[in-house]
Amino acid sequence: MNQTFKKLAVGSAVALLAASSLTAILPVTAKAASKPTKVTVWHAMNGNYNDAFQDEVKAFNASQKKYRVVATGQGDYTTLNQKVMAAAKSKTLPVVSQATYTQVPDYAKQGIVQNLDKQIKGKDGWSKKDLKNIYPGFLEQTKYDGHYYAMPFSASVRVMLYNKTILDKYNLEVPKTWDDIQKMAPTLAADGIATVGFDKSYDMEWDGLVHSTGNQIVDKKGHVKADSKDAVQAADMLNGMLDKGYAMTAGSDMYGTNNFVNGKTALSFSSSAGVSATKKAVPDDFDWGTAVVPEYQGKRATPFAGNNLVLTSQANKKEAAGAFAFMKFLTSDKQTAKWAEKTGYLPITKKAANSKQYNQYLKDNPLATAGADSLQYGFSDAAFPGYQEYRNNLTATVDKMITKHTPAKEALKTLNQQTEKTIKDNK
Amino acid sequence: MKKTIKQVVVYGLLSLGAITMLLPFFWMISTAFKTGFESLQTPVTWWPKHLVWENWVNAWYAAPFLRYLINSVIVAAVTTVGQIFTAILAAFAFSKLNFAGKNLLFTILLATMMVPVEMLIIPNFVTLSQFHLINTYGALILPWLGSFFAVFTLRQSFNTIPDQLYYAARIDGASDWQFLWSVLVPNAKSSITAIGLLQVIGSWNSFMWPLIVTNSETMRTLPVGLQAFSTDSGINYPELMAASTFVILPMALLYICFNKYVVAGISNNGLKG
Amino acid sequence: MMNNHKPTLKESLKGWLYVLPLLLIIGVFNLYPIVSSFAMSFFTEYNFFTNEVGALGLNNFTTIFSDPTFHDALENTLIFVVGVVPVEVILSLLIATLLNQIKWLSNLFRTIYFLPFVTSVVAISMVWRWIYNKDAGLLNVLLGWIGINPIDWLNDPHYALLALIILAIWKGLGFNIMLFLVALNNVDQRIYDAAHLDGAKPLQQWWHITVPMISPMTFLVTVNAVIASFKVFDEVYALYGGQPGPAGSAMTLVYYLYRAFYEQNKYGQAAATGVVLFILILLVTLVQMWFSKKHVHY
Repeated sequence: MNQTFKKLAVGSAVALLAASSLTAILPVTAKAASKPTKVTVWHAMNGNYNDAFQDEVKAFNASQKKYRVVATGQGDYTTLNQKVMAAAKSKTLPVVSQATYTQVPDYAKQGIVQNLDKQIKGKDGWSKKDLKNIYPGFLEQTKYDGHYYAMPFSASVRVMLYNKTILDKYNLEVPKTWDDIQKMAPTLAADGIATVGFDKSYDMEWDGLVHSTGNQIVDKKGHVKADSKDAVQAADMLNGMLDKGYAMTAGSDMYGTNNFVNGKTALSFSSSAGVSATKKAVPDDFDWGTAVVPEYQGKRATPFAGNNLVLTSQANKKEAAGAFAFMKFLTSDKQTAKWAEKTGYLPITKKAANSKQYNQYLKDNPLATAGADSLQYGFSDAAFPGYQEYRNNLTATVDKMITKHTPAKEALKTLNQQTEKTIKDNK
Repeated sequence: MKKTIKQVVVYGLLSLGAITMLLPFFWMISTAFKTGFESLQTPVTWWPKHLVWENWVNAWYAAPFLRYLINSVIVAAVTTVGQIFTAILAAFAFSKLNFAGKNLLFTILLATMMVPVEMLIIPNFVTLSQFHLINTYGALILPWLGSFFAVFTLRQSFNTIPDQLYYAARIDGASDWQFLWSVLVPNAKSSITAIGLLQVIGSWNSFMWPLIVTNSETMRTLPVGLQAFSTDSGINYPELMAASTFVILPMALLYICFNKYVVAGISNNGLKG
Repeated sequence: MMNNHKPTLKESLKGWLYVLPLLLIIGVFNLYPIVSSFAMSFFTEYNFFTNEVGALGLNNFTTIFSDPTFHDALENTLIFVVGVVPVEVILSLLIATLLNQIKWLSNLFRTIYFLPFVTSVVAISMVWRWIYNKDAGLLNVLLGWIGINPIDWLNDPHYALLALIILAIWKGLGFNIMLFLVALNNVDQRIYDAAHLDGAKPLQQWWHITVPMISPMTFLVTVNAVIASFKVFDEVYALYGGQPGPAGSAMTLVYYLYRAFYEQNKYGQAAATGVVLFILILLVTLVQMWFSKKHVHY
């Protein structure tokens, strides 16, 4: 055998041996601390969000001695969801997991998560006053079939970004209504600037418009009205703007940030959680601001998005109590305000949003104001089992209207049928 | 003269292809030096206006990369050596031995390649958790110790060595084991190096599996660290690209080192004459 | 091939012993989950998490076959396979041949051609999103030179699949070139020397010696490319940011499966899709094996 090759083989064998002995030495699982009940938490917070979350965990662990929370990041929401499925199947779920609110009904239906009613109504639970303190939109997200299955945690809302330089140049005001937008659009379009920028899809904006008219795409009882007159009209308006060059979608950029920072759009609709990313992406001399979304037919509505914490069905009583204590800690006025300041999410309680501390933060960070001001206009979709499938169909429908120019009436009629079927199948 | 023209054409074609192959690599490094705005700017800038070195520092401290690196090395090394070992044995059997059910078994094993890995993640997770291996090196390594693709490649390689040689060796009193390790393996070393490289890289870049089967930071591998740059508010491309660069650089170097074994063919071994 | 006599018990035992380590691993981590998920495709009333099966039947299959999205996925996957495999195999063989001819800088060139296989998927998808960009993208600039109007590659449903095919071919090259290089190096130099003496031109040598001599590797590469192309998922996910292309125009079978399994909790339908995919690949592979018996020289 060739000498080098032989060395290689021997080297590999040594590496193999060394590695396997290392396997034996290295601690495989962290040893549980002797006394306090360990509460494991899986989450999808990365980067500085992870740091902020670990700070919350530290604060909770320092605040009491009965429980010790151990939180680990499990990738993004997609991988976290896969892990939760795998762990549910193999009965190795953590005590608490983060979940997007759209997943909660499915988790509840499949028995992955526990009903929180008992804890909430229990003696360490929440009074009616406490519940009233939470913005109803967020509370709505945590319910399925009339029961609480989650605790609101990180929340965001759609806001509007505006490029002040462009607006000033054309002597335009920050629009307050969609009519204002329609009026300013031709001027900008003449110079190749799209007035409105969307992310890849405009589904959230459409949802907001439909709500402004007093309609719901799917109501709490599971009635589907995706192709109501108002819904079609709203979609027609958005499609018309896209056709005329008054608006543009982000397409393969996914987020409207690219178009916005490059001056291709004057306004951009974004998640309030995305404001900090835009801050990092804009050039130094970029003059911009944020505002609440414009009125449509005399009303304002903007959809909440949120990530909740759920208590899994494999937690025992002690762990469940610890989990609830942790959740309660996070939703306390002080902590939710702190969390909002560190991450750019919104505080979930009214008292926190009105607190001195948070208002000082808004003063120092004017870009965050639009999110906070939107709280009163926020709403949540009624989530239902199969919601994820509905979301897939919704984005496909919007996509069809954008790329294939399918008329709104026809596309939304199909969506309506699909959604009715989804709800029926998941009953 | 004709030869020179031919050479020019060959190098010309290869260079053209090489440029398209280099693009993403170049892009990755150039983006790693850009500011956040420049990374999104259109029209694109090929070379950053100012070199932002902080991206690299920030990227390194964004996750426990040293620990991840150690894990990655262990997992890639053990997986690759183990996989080559099982593949050599099996490829020998499929190439030179005669046994009942051989063709059927070969087809069944080939068929296992036809099922998308997306179907296997959850059942394998359940199996590993029954073995109490979740969050251990075992979970990261065990499922990948058998690769039918490696067996298939090696069998094709072993097949090129004449059967007569095998019979001759047997008549000379060599055992199967001896023949395998002293004739077949040395002669197939370019294939072995190639599948080894492919496996090291596959294992090194694998992201989903390590994330799914480990629960704690201390057990994770390099690609998982890249997750730190995709947050809820968007992706920090410059830092992500800086981190990607130090994740893949070891692999590029490894390839350069091992390339000569890939191309060291049959011309310089003992089979001749 | 060789020894066609009926194997003795001892021979069989020995053969199985050599295969055993591999079989243990593949059995536990591939065969077992495959069999159990195939079984799942017949469970019509089923709780995935508690493993309770309420009813058996073919409903999952009839449901997917009546779903227009499934038809799209099937069609797209077939187009993808036909679009990718021949080009990828031929191109990588040609490049490998060229790489095998050069001496000066050969190590550098080989490394460069291998880089895409090593580079991070995120970097690759970012670059390709830019290459495909309608206004500033490289591809449209190049096409402009030959008088073709800009194409909105990633947002126009008519081109989405083509964009995916080009990316997949490019991405698969490094892997296949490496395998072909191995095969080319294993061709005995003396055969070329003899042919040269007989006055064979380089192109003749390539066609009459190289191509038949490396046919086992061509067979392997093709089989592998077919299987991998049928299972395409990562490229779609990366290129279109977690969506199956504009208006679902790059929906593939595995994407359909993934979505059913992980997003829509339709485990039975996901498994049924897996079965359909499996049968498709198996059929194509069997045809390839039958073809190889005639044309592959060992």
